[in-house]
Amino acid sequence: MKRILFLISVVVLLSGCLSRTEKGVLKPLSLKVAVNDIYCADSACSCILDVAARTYPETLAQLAGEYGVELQFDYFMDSYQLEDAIRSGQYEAVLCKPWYAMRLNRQVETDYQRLVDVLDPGNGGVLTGIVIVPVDSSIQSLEELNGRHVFLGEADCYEKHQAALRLFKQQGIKPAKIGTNSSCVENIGVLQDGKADAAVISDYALSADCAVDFANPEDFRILAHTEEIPLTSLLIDKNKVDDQQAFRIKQALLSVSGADAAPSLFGQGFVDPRPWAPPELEERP
Amino acid sequence: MKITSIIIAVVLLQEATAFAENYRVDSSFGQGRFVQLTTDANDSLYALDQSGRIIVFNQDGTVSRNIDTEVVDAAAFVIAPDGTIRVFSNITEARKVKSGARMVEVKVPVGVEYTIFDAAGSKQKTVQVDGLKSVKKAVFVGDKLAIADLMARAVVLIDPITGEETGRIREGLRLCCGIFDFCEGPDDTILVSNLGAFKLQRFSLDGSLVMEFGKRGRKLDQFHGCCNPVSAVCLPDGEIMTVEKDPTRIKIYNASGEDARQVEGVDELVKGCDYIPVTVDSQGIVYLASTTKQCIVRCVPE
Repeated sequence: MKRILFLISVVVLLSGCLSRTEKGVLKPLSLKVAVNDIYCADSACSCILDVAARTYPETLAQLAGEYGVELQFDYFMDSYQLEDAIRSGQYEAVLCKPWYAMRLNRQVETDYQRLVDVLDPGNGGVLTGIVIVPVDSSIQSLEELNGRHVFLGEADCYEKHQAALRLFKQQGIKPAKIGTNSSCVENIGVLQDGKADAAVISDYALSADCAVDFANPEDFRILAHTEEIPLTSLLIDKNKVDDQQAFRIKQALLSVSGADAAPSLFGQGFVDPRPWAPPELEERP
Repeated sequence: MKITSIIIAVVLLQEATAFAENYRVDSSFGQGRFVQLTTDANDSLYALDQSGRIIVFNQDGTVSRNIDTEVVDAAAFVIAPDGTIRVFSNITEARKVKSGARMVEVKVPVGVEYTIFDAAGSKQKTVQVDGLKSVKKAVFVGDKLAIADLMARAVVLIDPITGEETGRIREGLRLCCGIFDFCEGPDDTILVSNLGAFKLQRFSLDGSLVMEFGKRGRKLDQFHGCCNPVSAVCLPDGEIMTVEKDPTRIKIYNASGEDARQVEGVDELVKGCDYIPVTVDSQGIVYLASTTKQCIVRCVPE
């Protein structure tokens, strides 16, 4: 009898969380979300609007109407604006490259954790840094970067900084000089100007960044990719959103994804987060 | 202890002044969606809209007169030393291009022409400029007419009398988002807002790089966003004012590109990736056009 009652309780609880609910059954759950999404028309640069065409209002309306999950998206074109938004403490969630939020957790006393990943328009979800040289460079392999001048990204961009440094360490590469630039377009620029031998940029930079306006992918050769990390995630601040709420939001997001994803998402939407544990966060005191 | 307090106070004051520049900001000087601004020898402001209408403003913001040039798709204009006005437009061809999953028809610039008006606004003649693919901005620099050709990714210098090309500045220009702005610098130089490089670069008319500054970053002396600055002007005292789009930031650097200070009080002028036309008169009064708010913002030095 106890076992039957337990099972009934579990079914009732799960049905409350999982199923599409009738209006008014569940109390609406509202979250403010800071958004900086490479492929979203509201947070991407205008020069790539043909590839960054994703819009969220249709999906947000579906989440609110069918699941009572009301996500209020505030869009930020600039990653520095996003960082300021996170530091302001006004948001319960962020949708961005996960490192932007995770690296700030200890600094600003947030506890941003990845809830779901967001697929790109090709339904991929990974990001790498690419080590590039001009196509006519004599450098043919990563090993040849020993003693050379290389530009990386800055520490807020994991794929072209931490991941690149780890790649070099693993491969025993010791460039003579390492510079950093904040943006991929600057790193492409130093190669175009002949001011460095190689540079690390995000793997989308030659197709979904301002560089599309002045750099041709065929003008560069890729020597190596850094490790794969998640491209875009929706992260919730666990200091503000409890487990039950998180579960409800996640189920709602997964329910409006896949074959049911709104066409305006230009992809299949949200998926379970791929495993990623940046060692830099573990090493911090 | 007292000395320490004074030192701290001085340091704090220095910090404060580093982030402020005294301008009286009038955010509703003139209304309209303007593609370019300029001033004449009498410091009157001229604003060009895309329909080819030029509005001339009095210093109090009232409209002095309208010049309906009827130039279709007007992109730039310039007031010559003799007071005549040249209004530039792109000659375009309709082409189908792929945008995402769709084919869309767009007008692609294939040439440039300008129409000359006398100071009173009467049309004189229309001239096609050889060798230009497009026009974004035009400025008289010394005895040359400099034209920003986005399709060619170059500032093209032409003889304003013969129309003959005399040179090009193109080295290292990384232009994006359809924005290409430059202004006249001291000693017959040109300052290009090289937004894709996050730099302001000063070139001599032979195309040599004279000076540059800028880098992407959070600091006040750096440029933020996906690409910036979108425009700039040289102030009468030799300092340089730079304009960043979204988030809008107006800053002043010294002539060497150092000692950045922010002009306070200018609200968000555009949303997203958009150009912000800017001009300055002989008194250092700066005008900025907001396409989003469809107005002109005037900044008067105090």
